[in-house]
This record gives sequence, C-alpha cells and structure tokens, in this order.
Amino acid sequence: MLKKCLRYDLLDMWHFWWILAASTLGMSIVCGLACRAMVELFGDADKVDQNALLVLPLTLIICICILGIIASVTVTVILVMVRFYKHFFSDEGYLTFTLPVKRSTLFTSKVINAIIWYSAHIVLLIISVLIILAIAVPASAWASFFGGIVAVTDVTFLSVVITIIKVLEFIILGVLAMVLEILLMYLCITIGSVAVKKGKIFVGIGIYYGINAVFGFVMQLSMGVLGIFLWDGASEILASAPVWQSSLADVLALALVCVAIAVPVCVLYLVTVNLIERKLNLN
Amino acid sequence: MSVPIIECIDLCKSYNKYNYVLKDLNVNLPAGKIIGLLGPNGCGKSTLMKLICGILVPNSGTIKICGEERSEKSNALISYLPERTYFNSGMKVEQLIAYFSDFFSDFDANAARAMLADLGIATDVKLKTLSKGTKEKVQLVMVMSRRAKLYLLDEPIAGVDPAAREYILRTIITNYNPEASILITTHLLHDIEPIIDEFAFMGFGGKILMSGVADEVRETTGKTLDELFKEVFRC
Amino acid sequence: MRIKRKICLLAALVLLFANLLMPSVFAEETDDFTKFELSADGKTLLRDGERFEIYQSSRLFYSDPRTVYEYENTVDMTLGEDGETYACRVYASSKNANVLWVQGVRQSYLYVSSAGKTELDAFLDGTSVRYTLENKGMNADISNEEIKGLDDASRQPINAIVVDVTTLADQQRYDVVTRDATYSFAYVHGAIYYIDNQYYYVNYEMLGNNYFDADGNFSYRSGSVPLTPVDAMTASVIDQTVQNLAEYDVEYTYESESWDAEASKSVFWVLFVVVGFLAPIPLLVLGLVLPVKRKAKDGKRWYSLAVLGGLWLLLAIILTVILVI
Repeated sequence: MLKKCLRYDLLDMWHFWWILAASTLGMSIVCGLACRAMVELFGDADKVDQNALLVLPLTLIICICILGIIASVTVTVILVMVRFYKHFFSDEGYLTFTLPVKRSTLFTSKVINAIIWYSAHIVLLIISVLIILAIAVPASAWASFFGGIVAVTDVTFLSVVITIIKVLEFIILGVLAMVLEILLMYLCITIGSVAVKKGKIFVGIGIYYGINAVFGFVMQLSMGVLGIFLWDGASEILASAPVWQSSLADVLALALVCVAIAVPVCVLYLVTVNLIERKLNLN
Repeated sequence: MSVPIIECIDLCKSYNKYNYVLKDLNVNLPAGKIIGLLGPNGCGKSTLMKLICGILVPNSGTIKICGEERSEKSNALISYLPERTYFNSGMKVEQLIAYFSDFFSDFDANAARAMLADLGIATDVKLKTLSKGTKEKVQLVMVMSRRAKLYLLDEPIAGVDPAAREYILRTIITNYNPEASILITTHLLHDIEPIIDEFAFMGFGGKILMSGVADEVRETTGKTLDELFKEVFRC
Repeated sequence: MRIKRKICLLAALVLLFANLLMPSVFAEETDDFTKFELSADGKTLLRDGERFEIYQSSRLFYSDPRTVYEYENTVDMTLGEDGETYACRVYASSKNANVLWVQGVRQSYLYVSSAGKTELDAFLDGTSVRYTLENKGMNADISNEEIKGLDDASRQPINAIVVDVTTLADQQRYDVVTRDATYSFAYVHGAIYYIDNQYYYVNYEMLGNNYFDADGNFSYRSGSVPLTPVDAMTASVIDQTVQNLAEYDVEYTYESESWDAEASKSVFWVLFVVVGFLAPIPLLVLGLVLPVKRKAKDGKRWYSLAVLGGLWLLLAIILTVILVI
C-alpha cells in the first residue's frame, strides 16, 4: 500500500513540479546567457563605454533569474505542504482517510514524497548552477579551474575508508536534517488542523515559528556550551593519539550526532501520526 | 442471529465541551438492508456516518463493523459517499477509476465505465472541468461500483434536481451489492421512502426517537414515513 | 485563562531575550595580553619582565615546529632597517618557553633566555640532537646511532663513489635532518639516495660551501660529490624508517585561551557522561514504557525510541573505550 500511496503522491506533485523545473532551467539558461553577455561586453575595458546602456537590463535580468531560481525552492516547499494539507485536512481527506490504508502508511508516504521532491529540487539547483557556469564561463577559464585541482596522492587505505564513512555520515546527517524540517512543518500543519476550527493555516505557521524559536534556542545552547567544551576536551585527550584513534573517534562522534538528530525526527513522526490517528476530525 | 453490520456502543461525540452531538448512542444496524437514517438538520446523522468511516474520532464509546472494532481494515468493507466532492479535481475521470481500482479490491472498473457512459460523461476529461452536478454523479458512480458490505450515503440527493434524484436512487438500487447494507441519511424522506427497508428517526443529541421496519410501521400506523416524520419532528 | 496567557507571554519574552543575550553569555573572557618591550638596539626583548637576548649564528638552520604558541598582540618595534614586526611566536606546547621567534618584515629574529641559549647551543654543537628522514613533506625518526654510523662510514673515502651531481637531481632522495630536542629547529645534515636498489649516503658536513647555493641548499648544477654506499643492516633500518614516513600537522594554541588542558579534559568527561549516558535514559524509559501503556495496535512503534536510545548508549560506550585506550 505504501508503494501505491507514494506513486499517486509523486504523480500529484509531478503535475506542478515539472512546470517549476522547466521554468527554473529556463531561468538558468537566460541567466547564463546574460552573464556571458556581461563578460563578453564588459570584460574588455575598451568595450565598457560602448555598451554602457546594456548594463542595467542585463543586471536586472540576472537578478530576476537568480531570485526566481531561489524562489523556486520556496515554491517546491509550499507545493509539498499545500498538497499535504489538502490531501489530509481538506475535502480530499474524506477520500484519503476512507482508503483501506493505515494512517501511518499514508503519512509515511507523504514524508517520503517530500524527501524525494526536496532532493529533486536540490539536484535541479545544482544543474541550474552548472548551466549558468557552463554558459557564462568562457571555455578558456575552465582549463585553469580544473588545472587548479590538486591530485590526491599518498593516501592510505585507512584514510580512504574513514573519508568514505564520514562522507556517508554527512549525507545521512543532511537527509535527517531535511526530514526533521519536513516533519516539523507537517506537525505544525497537523496541530493547526486538529486543534483549531478557524485560521488553521495561520495557527500552523505560528506554531512553526514558535517551535523553531525554541529549537534555535536549544541548538544555540548545545552548540555554544557543549560544542565548545566537548570539542576542546576531546582535542586535548586525542592530542597525542595515533591517527586511527582520532579518526575512529571522529567517526563515532559523527554517528552519535546522527543518532541525536534521529531522535527528534522519530519523536515528531510518532507525535504527528498519533495526532492524525487519534485527534483527526474532518468537518 | 446474524452479526449486525454496525454496532455503536455508548457512542459520544462533541465538538466543544458544552454540546454533545451524539450522547451515549447505542444502535445496531442489520446486514443486508437499506436503512434510512432520518432527522432534522444538525441532529448528528452526518456525524454518525463520519464516525463509522473513521474521519471523526469519538470522544468515547465503541464502533464495531461486522463484529470487529473500527480500523483501517473496516474501510475495505465500507463505501462512503459524503455530502461534498472529495476528489482531487486535477485528476481525470480515468485516473480516478485507476485510483479506485488500485486501492479497493472490490471496485468494478468496467461497471464504473458503463455507468459513466450511460450518463454521457467522458473519461478523459479533468474533474475540474465538470459541473457540480456531474461531479456528484461521478462520485456516486465510483461509490456504487464497489462491491462493499456497507454503503454509507450521506445526503445523496440533497441539492440535486428531481430528475437527477430519480437517477441516483435508481443507480443505488440497481448497482449495490444485494448482500450489503446501505445506510442513507437524508431529510428528503419523501424521495427515499419507496426504497428503504428499515428506518430510524434521529433527534438532537443522537437520540433514536423511533425506528423499525418501514412496511410494518406503515401497516401498523396507517401513515407514511413522511407523515410520521412530520409528527415526530413537529416544531 | 488570563493568567495562562500572561505566563505564555512572559515565557516567550524570556526566550526571546535569552536568544539575544546568548552570545554574550558565551563570550570568553580573555586574559590580559603578554607585554613585550624591545630595547633600542634591538638586542634585548622583555616578555612580561623576563629577559631574552637576541641569538645570532653563522650556522644555517630553519624553524620547523610541531607546536606553536601565538601571542594575541603584535610587537610594535623597529629593528634598524627592517621596520615593524607583526607576529611573535613561541615554539613550545605552553606559554613558558625559552625561545621566542619574532617575525619581521624581511626576516625573523631569535630571542632566547639563558636556558634557551643553552638549548640552542647544544643543538648547534650536536650534543642535543635527534634525526629524521624527510621526503615530500613527510618525515620519520631515525636513531642517532644509525646516522653516526653513516657519518663514520662517510669519513672513509675508500668506500665512496664519486657521482656527477646533475645525475642526482631526479633520483629518489631522503634528506637527513638534524633537529633539536623540542622539534623546533632543524638543518639538513645530509641525504640518502636510493639508486639501482642501493642506498647511498652523502654527509653535507663534509662538503665545502661550493656544493651549496646562496640559500644553503645542495646544488645540482655542476660538479661531483662522493656517495657512501650504505651497508645491508643500515639499509634495512632505512627501509623501516621509510615505511614510517608520515605528515604532521602543526598544532597552534593562542594567547586568548583561558583553559588549561586538564580543566578542559575534566569538563569534557562531565559533559560526555551527561550527553552520552544520561541523555539517552529518558529515551529508553519512554521507548519501553509507552508501548505497554498505549493500545497494542500503535504501541509498538514507540519502541523505536528505545532502539535509538540503545544505539546512542552503545555509541557512547564505544567512544569512551576509544578515548580511554
């Protein structure tokens, strides 16, 4: 059932997202061309005076395109959240919650759907940036860019393994942070929808900012106090340790951070599912 | 004695601390019957249906469907037609048929297409391009194309013209699973009286004021259900 | 209800102000900076009243520290034609060191206390030295006895082969670097070449100035140099040393630091116990109690909290073992 739910959720978003993606790619092409025009027209000091009139329109085009590309991220987030709200808490909820599917499955499908579209948008942004660079940067400059990359030599098997593990941990950390943000938004929408009758969206947004403020406070406390003292102390303890010991400690510390982030992810998931199962009142 | 299709035990539901829409409701609905749940606006008919479907959560009490406590598995047995349009209007009709086929194993896609063809509704159009009445017909077709054990039809003929009402009632009678039960809520008793087997008059707070087999009550009292309704709910 | 609202408003205001005040709470208090004074002739430097004399030597050596202590303040002084200095470093693992390295605009100057002078004299005399083999920024210790053996062999000209220096430029080479006991200073003592599966040693101390360029580096431009073949036993020691070649990162500490090592370790362990072992306990408790309390159909998913709590504890235990061994 999860696969079926996910398929329909993905299809649902695709109907809107492909337009957004096409627009974003289009804007990046336009931006790249405008940047390239700036480089060609104003790269040479002699040409500046001849083409002075084009500065403003080109700059405007570049700014609008970049703002548009950045705004596309917000649009994806809004699309995902609106689809969640409509599918669960509006008239469509009458069909959703009468399907022979567990509510936890329905919710999990929504979470996975959001992860997929957020990740797709990250890839889209990377492609957009690459398109802009590919068009804007002259071919001759690419050679010096790649020539500057220093070849990695003299690595040991242990350092390669440790690096791969750390990269994986950072990826997991990134995904967990993304899921945490998604679940927080879903929870706020759910609280707004089940707790109040009027102004559900405003209440949801208010709860989101409130929780974010508390989270921010806790994060500052943990990073400021724990981070500094733990880091200093660990550095002292491992000052004379062999490489393998400090590398392993790094890996384990990162894993611990991943588990620590997984805890609020788990709590938010369980609380939201609990609310949907026990407090849902579509009316 | 067969297991009742729906059992409500001490069911309570309120939307605020002061007013209970349903209070200590105890009712058993038999299987294989068309039951009319009749009452004035705001007495709790739709609330009871939503509780049975699970889109409302009771404050207290239990609901059993075919002898088992209400859960997501019960949704496979229930085909629900709400009083509002509940589809994603961005979908096409054919996509909706595929959606129902995917999730409901008892959904008969061919029957649905046949009914839509009878109504002259194309399947390759988006739902948002259809009129309100047509959307409601599509919704009814989807619901009645399932071979469910319980059909919950909430105000299926409210706000619909008389010709459409007749079509809807005919569709209900000709397409439902004969072994199933249908629970219809309405305040337009005159139209559904000919088709219902049993009835219940629900008052405010979910109180069942009168219930029974429609034919028996008509013989006993010599009155139609419509007349009885007006008597019971006289203002 | 009014009281509840007031409490919520008060809590919100407290959180808001706490957020704003947070940076100042964690702002570190800095010690007073160390004060430096330079005499008019530039030969004497006072560090908080402690006296350091300039150290000059005709021997060519360079700084190659493993630890550096940097003072926050700069030393504003003019040293003859060189203008102002801009940094003051100490090669040591603590502030209290006997050697100060003062960086000028064009060159650096050494100032030593009497104890520091003794250390440097011993280094340059060869009485307090250690040796490393170096290659491509990596080095490894090699025992004084091996280098002494190589030096003794190099003094036997009958063993040496004379080689054109231009052919040596592309050969595999390991520099033999003399270092002081604190790994602060160094000079290149000689080199070991690996040619045709044989190690050869050249002792720079035995060569005249014509073998070196103006910067004191061995010149491959022209001429020939005697190379001493290395015996099999020493060769196996060199092989082992080559296996041990590794980079090192220079560790920096700064004057603004107010913690000492032991205090930071103690604080670390206290916080680590809290974060690593106490924090997951509520997770374990909730994760084991809630599934029992809640209805069976959705209770089991709360076990995930217990799983995370268990994983947290396990990682903390393993990390403790790693830190303690």
